[in-house]
Amino acid sequence: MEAGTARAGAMPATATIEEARVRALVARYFYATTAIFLVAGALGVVMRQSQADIFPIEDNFFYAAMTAHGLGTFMAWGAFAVMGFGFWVLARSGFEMRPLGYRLADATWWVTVVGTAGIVVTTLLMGFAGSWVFLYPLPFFSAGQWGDAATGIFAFSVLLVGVGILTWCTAILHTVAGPSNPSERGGALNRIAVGLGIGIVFPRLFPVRGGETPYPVIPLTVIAVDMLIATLPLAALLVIMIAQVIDPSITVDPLLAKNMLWFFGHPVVYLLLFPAVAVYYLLIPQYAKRPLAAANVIGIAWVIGVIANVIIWAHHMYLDYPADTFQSVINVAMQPLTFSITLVSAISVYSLCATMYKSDFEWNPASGFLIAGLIGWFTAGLSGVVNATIALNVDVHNTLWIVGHFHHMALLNIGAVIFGAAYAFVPELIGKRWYSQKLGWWHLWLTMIGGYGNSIIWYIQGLNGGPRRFSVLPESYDALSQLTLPFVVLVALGQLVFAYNVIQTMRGRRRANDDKPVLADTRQIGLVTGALALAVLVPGFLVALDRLPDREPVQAAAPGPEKALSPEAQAGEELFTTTCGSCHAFSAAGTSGGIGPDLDSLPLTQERVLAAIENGGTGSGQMPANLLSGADATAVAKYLDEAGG
Amino acid sequence: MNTTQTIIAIGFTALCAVSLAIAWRVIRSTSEKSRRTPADLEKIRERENVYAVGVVVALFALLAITIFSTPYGKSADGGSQQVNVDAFQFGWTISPTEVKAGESVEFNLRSKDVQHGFGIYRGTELIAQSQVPSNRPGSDSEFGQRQDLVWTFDEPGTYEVLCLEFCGVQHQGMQGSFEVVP
Repeated sequence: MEAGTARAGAMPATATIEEARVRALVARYFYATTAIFLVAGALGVVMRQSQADIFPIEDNFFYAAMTAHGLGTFMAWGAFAVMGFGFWVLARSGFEMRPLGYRLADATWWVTVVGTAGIVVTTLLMGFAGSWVFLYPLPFFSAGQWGDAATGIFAFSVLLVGVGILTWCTAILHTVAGPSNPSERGGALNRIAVGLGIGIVFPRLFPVRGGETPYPVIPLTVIAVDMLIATLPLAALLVIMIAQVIDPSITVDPLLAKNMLWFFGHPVVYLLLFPAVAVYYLLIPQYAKRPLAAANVIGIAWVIGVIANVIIWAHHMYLDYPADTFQSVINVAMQPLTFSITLVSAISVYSLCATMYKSDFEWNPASGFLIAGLIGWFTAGLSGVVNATIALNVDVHNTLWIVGHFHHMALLNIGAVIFGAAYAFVPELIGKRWYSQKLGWWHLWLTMIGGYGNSIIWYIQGLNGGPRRFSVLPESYDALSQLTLPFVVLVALGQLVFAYNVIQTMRGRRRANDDKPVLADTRQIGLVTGALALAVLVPGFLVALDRLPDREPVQAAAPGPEKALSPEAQAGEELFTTTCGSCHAFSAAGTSGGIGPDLDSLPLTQERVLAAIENGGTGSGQMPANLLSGADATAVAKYLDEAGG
Repeated sequence: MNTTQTIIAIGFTALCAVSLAIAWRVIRSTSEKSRRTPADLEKIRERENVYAVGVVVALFALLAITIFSTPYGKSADGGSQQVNVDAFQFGWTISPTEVKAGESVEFNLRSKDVQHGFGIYRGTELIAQSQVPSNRPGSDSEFGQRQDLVWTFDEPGTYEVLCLEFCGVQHQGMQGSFEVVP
């Protein structure tokens, strides 16, 4: 930490941090987000090409990369980007940072950097592959792929990120509660109430100087309050997991653990969205050159939002309803509550469109990205409503539709806002103009065309039953996965253009004569959008309507030489493929599982197989005892005896 | 695609098309000559309340149509045929492996270890799914809590089972099947 920060503590409480230091702080957040985003994005490219069977990667590395990609993009955007830009939005809305807030903001950066490093090490180097939700108790059932130490360090790293979220929330609330807040009554509570937008709903109880609450402060205060509440149970779960690494007798009920996880997991998605809304409230009026066209109803929506946000987590658990639990009641109650939070988005989109409508709007890469993000916000919200509806969720839960939805939301809404904010804020933060506006426009179009192609294909695959989180998808989905690749390349190219633009800008370079926008003419936009729709939707739906060929059974992969089998052994073959084949490679059955011993290399006798089935695995202890019993076990033993070498 | 998935595909595409058309109109309006006066802005604010009411009504309508179709009530009814499904890393033990078409089946889902997802497929069509609750580590019982999925199969044939909750390194290989006979 710099010496200046330490000295700041001695200043009187009314002292504020110079704007130059806030700029430097936010710039540091921007550099971190860009670096992490590029790495996490590259992991996404690696996974998608592997699924399309170009250069397949090993299964556990796929899942470890998936874990790092999910958490990494969150760190990049949910942590560094929206957190840093959040401070800058507050500064530009007239809220001055004070010494404690600055120290917390600085600490947040460091804690999150260390946490991110821990996540990278445990996933990519130590093989932790529990997915970003690390659904308890999966981290402790690694099938021999990673050790409890990796689980412990991983949990500790995520805990650090959680601490970072708490310090960020405190820094935001500390700044909102400062004397620069326009609350007439003053005092921390009144100021935070005004920050929450309550002054719009009850202007007499919470009078505001000048009568207008600065809109950008509302989403930031709302999410800061909510994340303080939502992060604590997650922290408790992580502490229990660390304790279990040390003493295996300390455990937690898995259903409770899942509720704790999603109690955090839902609001943390809004940690991405709400600060993005704050960026909109600040920048759209600036580009439209008129104030935000908002009615009182926007204040009501935010009051509903701050409450609803922490009581709708179970929409991630609609298909969990174990016998003799209340989970189904919680799930049903949370459908209407989830619906209520869409009001914030629906009304904000309306206000922003109304502000922009027939205005003398300034078009540049920043405003272009923001408007593209606005379209992404609304359309991704529509697929979100599908997910939030139990009766529809049953048919899309854990399919690639969900993957389509959150990449739509993350890249084409949140990502777009973050890029827009970067194009708008970076010159203010580092005092240098962008190297090239034209490259900014290229970044926009490559990201949008590639991103929509990518998500639309996921949507189609999901509605055709494509399962989520499969390192290797069933063969019938391969055609569409391959169709995705050109779009993945476009997204990747867009980000390389962005990275180049950032580096040149940091070096203080300027590109001459590049103010003419690319595809800024509305006719060109229409042409590109139409071409995109035709290029993706038509083949996609043709493939979908043609009822993709039925999935090939796994054993078709590499059948060994046929042997004449007794009828009992034939029954055993089927049981073997379904029950044993996913872990044991056995060429006669064409199975290739790599968890248990390779059965082609073992001398197989009936007695030995029966003993293994009865007692379970004797090696790493992964194979449960008595997976099969009685005649079934004998049949499998006979089969292996007859078919084995 | 099953019926619900087809409805989702059509509904989502249609609503996206409408929102794109509106976005197009708003974007075009910024290059028009006639700029709006401040008085019009006031009108916009009034309309925002009307719009908000419209959104609430639409959400209530969707709620009223869908809230009674949950998988939870069905499971309480039980099924005329019982099938035990035991999930483990990384496979399924399904017994019996044959059920009759046209009569309801109650799948009793249990897991020996982590959480799994019981997804029933015909070809690429996802027919039905439910989560399989995980077992608590170090627990004395062999299985975690039970969860039931009740379903009636109309068409005879082979149905495949895929795991629909990420469960580890061989998640994608965790397959099973059962027969529906006339």
